[in-house]
Amino acid sequence: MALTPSFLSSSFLPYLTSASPTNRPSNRRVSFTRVAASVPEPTELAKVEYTPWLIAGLGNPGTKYQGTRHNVGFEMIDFISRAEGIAMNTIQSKSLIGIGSIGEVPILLVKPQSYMNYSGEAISPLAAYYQVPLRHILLVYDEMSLPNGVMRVQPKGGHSHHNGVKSVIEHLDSNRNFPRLCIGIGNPPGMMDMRAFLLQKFSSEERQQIDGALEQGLEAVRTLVLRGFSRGIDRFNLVQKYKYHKV
Amino acid sequence: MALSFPSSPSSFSPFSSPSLHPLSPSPSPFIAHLSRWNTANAEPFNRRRRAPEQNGSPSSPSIQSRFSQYSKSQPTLTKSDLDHPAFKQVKPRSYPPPDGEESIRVTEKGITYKFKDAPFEFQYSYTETPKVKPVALREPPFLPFGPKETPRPWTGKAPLPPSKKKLPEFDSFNPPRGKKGVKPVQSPGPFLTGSGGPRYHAASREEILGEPLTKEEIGELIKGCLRTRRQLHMGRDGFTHNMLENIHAHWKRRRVCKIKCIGVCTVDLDNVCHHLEEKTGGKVIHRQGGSIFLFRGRHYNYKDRPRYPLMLWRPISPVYPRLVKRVPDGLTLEEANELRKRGRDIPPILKLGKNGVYNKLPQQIREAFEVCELVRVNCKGMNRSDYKKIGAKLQDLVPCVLLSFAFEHILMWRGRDWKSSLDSPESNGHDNAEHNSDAVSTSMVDEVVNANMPMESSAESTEDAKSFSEVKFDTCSDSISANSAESAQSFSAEDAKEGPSTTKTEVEPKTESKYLEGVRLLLNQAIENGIAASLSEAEYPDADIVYQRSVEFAKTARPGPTYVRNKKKESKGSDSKKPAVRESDEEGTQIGNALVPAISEKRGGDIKKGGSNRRKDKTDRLLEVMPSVFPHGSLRVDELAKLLS
Repeated sequence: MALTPSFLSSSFLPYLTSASPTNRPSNRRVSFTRVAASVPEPTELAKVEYTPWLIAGLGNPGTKYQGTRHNVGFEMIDFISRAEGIAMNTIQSKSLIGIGSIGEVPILLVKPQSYMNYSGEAISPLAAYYQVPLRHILLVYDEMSLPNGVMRVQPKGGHSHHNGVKSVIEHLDSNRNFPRLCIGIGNPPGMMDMRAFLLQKFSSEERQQIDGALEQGLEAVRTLVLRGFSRGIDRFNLVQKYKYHKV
Repeated sequence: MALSFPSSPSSFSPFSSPSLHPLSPSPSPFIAHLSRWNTANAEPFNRRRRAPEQNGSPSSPSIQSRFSQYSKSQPTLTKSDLDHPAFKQVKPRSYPPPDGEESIRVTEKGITYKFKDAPFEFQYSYTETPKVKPVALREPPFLPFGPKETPRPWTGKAPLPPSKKKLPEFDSFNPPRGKKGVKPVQSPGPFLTGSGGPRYHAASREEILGEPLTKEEIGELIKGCLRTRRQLHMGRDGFTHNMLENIHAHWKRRRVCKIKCIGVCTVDLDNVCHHLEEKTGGKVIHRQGGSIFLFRGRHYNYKDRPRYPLMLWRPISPVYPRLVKRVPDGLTLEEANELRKRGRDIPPILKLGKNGVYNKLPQQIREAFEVCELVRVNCKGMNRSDYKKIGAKLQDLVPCVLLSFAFEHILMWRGRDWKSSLDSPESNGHDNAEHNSDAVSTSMVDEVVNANMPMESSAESTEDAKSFSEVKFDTCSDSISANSAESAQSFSAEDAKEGPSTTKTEVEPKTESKYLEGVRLLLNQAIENGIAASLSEAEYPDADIVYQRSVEFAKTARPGPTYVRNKKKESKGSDSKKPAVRESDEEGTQIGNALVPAISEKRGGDIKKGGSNRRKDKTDRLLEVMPSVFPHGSLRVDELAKLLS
């Protein structure tokens, strides 16, 4: 992804080629003297990017909201952290974070401890601090338009009236082009209040479905991190869409 | 009601016959059937019948009254019996004869009518005819077209009285001046500048169509007719023969004919478009849902249009072989029944509305076949013939096998030789659809494990600080590519170094990857700088404690950097450090490049444009920075790079 025409040498742009005056590692700086005019777009076949991923799950903090529908994001993150052996033991920027890796790719698991509507305030400084590019911010949240337990991995999308996602989009400079993992929770039955539905805990059947879904979601996250958006992800989406339609 | 029995023998029979005399030697065979009522006329037959039994069959009753089940004799018919007109063979009357000029053919395409000078064979429906040869015809064949020449145009009514015969007519294309109430006629066109005007007598189809339409012309044409109510409808019979005439009638006045398809014909809109273009000579310029917009051609002349005979009568209905076979190909009866039984319990993937647009249906079914081998579609509320037609089309489009139409559902099986379109080496060896997701997930995990190996060996060695900045993204593209299945085997020797990502119980001490070290460094710095705090083992599992600690910490810690939208790598580093414009940090993080704030303000200014083009941002920024250097053309930076590499 290095798009640097070779004529932009240092003589034109003194400031860009100077050494970083900070003691922070300069990550996104590609020096202009280095010609990396290879094929700009990465090939469709999967490649591994070692840029870190920020995997954030949306939810409400505290034990009161544990296990509720709106907190599936948190549950997913917990599941990933247990599976990968990543301890989430640091507080930074109003959220609980843990760093580790899937394979060789470093990931940062984030559980914002600000309430749902202010998740953006927690996530975006983290993304900026760790210099995670937008395409490597994976947001995990609950989606009412999908049936219970059905997941979908999208490279970009809207907020679908989810206050947490709305806040994240706003704080990422009104940018919606980050990948998401949507976990379906189904529509509220009948005329039930949406907010009451979201803050309700799962029923036992739904709980089982969600547990199953979390395992499948873990595989999807691994594929995504290691291989990006590829056929594996397409297949995952299809399998999820029709997983309750077989006998 | 009292029945009166007339005395004369002849009135017994409702029919009259010449030889009614009871003792006539050879009664007509027609009356033979009456012998069972034992009428007077039955006598001679009874006499005849008695003869064989006289040989001494004990079971035959002595009184011959009716044909009993034991009597085996049949009335024997002589040749003269068969002369009776009632026994004459009725030859099917041949209608306007299918002679050399016009003929009817029954082929794979159904029933087609071939005319001598016609450019193609006529059919009742060009799109909805099943692609199977009919087994039989329900009626004797005839040509359903109107007469070739009629003394007056066909109006469907009786001729007008002479007082009304002479209607004032005028040419729509050249109406007399000052005439009121003239319906408008759109001029030929649109014409490209410099191409010359209309060619009124274009000879071939390509000449009528003219140059391919440009995007702007298409846009203009469509804009004018997106919302018209003046349209043709296409339903379950698809593109019928008489529609040709209607399309030309529309094209007389408007350049674009809007055709709205609903129902069965929408399953295969590509086929419909193909036939429309082929048969009418127009071009499909736009398709939206079920609506098709057909352009007539730049040099279309209504007066030179082809005149086809209209189908004025309902044509012959053919008999087709059974659509759903009881024992489909590739299955035994037991297997088929087993599948049908299973299929009764499957939840349907879709519900089809009665007159909907089903153009996505084949794709959805193909996708569903990726997951499960049996697919059921709910068609409650539709006509039976409609969903059967849909099933027949799906059989060809999505290659599948129809199993049943029971309970107003379509049940399909994907067939034995089904290949997944998403198939990549990642999904290897899953035979049963039911274990699809599990198989896929396990195979994905296998690939993950195997793919870890090559990564380490070919990774660049970079410093920690720049560990993930300058790494080429296509470092391991080959190893993770589609051939990873083979390459993974070559690395099987390194399986011992399996990464811990697959095991849940293993505790680190994995070899920390270099890329992770950079992140750890950042984290440690953050803790040192006081913007992060670590929790002890006892604390972090408990959500409440975590929340309290984070609240307390947030009060004291500095606010973090603001995320500013810039995807460019070289600017990202500097951007994230520079003070943001909108919400400035009091403490402020490091740096500020003197030259950079000029851009950042500009950036802050146009935050409003929410989803604007990323590419524009890049060129805008670069334009500001180096206006003299950067060409003001439309090439983006990466395209320039490509050219210069």
